[in-house]
Amino acid sequence: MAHAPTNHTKTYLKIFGALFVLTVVEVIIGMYAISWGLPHAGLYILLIALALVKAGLVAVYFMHLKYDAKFLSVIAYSPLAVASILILLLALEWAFQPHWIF
Amino acid sequence: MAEVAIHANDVHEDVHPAPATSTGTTMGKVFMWLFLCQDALMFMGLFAAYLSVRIGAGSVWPSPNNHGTAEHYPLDINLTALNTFILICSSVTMVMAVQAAQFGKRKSILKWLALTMLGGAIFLGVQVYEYIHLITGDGMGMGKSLFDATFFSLTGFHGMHVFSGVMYLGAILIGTAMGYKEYKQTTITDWIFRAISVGLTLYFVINVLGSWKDGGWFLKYFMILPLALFPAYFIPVVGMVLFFWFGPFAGWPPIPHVAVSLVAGSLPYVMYRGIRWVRSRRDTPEIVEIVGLYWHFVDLIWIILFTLVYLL
Repeated sequence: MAHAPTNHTKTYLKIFGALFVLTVVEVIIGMYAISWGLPHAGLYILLIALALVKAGLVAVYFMHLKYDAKFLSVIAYSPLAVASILILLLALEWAFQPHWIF
Repeated sequence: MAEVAIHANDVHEDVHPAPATSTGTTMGKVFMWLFLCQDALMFMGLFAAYLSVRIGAGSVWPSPNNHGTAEHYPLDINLTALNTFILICSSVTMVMAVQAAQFGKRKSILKWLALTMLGGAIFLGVQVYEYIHLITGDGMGMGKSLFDATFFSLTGFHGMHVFSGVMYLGAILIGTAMGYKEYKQTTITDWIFRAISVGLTLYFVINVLGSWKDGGWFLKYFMILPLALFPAYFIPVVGMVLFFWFGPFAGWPPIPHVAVSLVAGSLPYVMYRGIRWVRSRRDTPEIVEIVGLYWHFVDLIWIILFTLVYLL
């Protein structure tokens, strides 16, 4: 700590609240959204988007990517490039599955 | 042996912060992030494999959203949602411990670290309860179906991370509580802990191999010594010998059991060295920040895992 540390308690509590609410929303959507008439494709996209938002909140605020040196963000986000290549290539195969979920 | 224990409540006068490098941050954080990247890629492989079989199975897969399978869905979403909540809570206490470390509040660090460990322990307890319920109650098992195999490998791999995290936090907690100390290269305590670990490993391995039905004599008399003397370092070598020699000739050996024995047996010595390492360092904020990164990563993976495995 070269500079004086700052108190982030309020931010942490806000993020905690957001994570809690998003988890509850996610569970409710996961269990009931189909019976409300949401199509499966929408459900999957919604759930994965919510999970990614939660993971992002943890990485940015709790893992201090926002406050730390930008170099750490470069390292932290680099697996996403590899992950997207993998998902893209696998999606080519998934699209031709006989029981394709969409 | 020079012993300088810090008795002051606050550590910041004694803290020597780790120097920043040309990256703009410290070596420790850069290397923990690099480790987390390769760990993320490992999880990515498991997730991709899971998604492939999940999508291949489509509506046949047990899921709370498929009309055919929702009634027989074996996983308890409410219990696991509670578990997710506990892990998120432990993430918050962890970030409070990091903040306490940055402000140099020693007692506060200990309190928040202890709460984080408690959260991790409860999480593991619930997971063990869930596993027992699924295996004995619902008859699930690693080799029963693709659903079971992906479920156990993903949650088990993550649970292993939580267990390591609790041990890691424990070493930081005990080391911080005991205070700074200068160490010699090798002390008598080192030898005591080495003896404990060797003894424990011997005990575990003999137990495991004793229950292996036949062909165990060679292992019992010739393999146990290197196993016990060099726990952890010999896992690949011993694993290869077990696999290629005993696989075809003497029936498949209990390789996972031997590996678990080696890890469990080395634990006392590894923990002792970890605590010793923490005590020999003066950059407490840095050390707590790094364990924080690991712990938040475990939480982050669980957030994704919960959605993909339980809710999809």
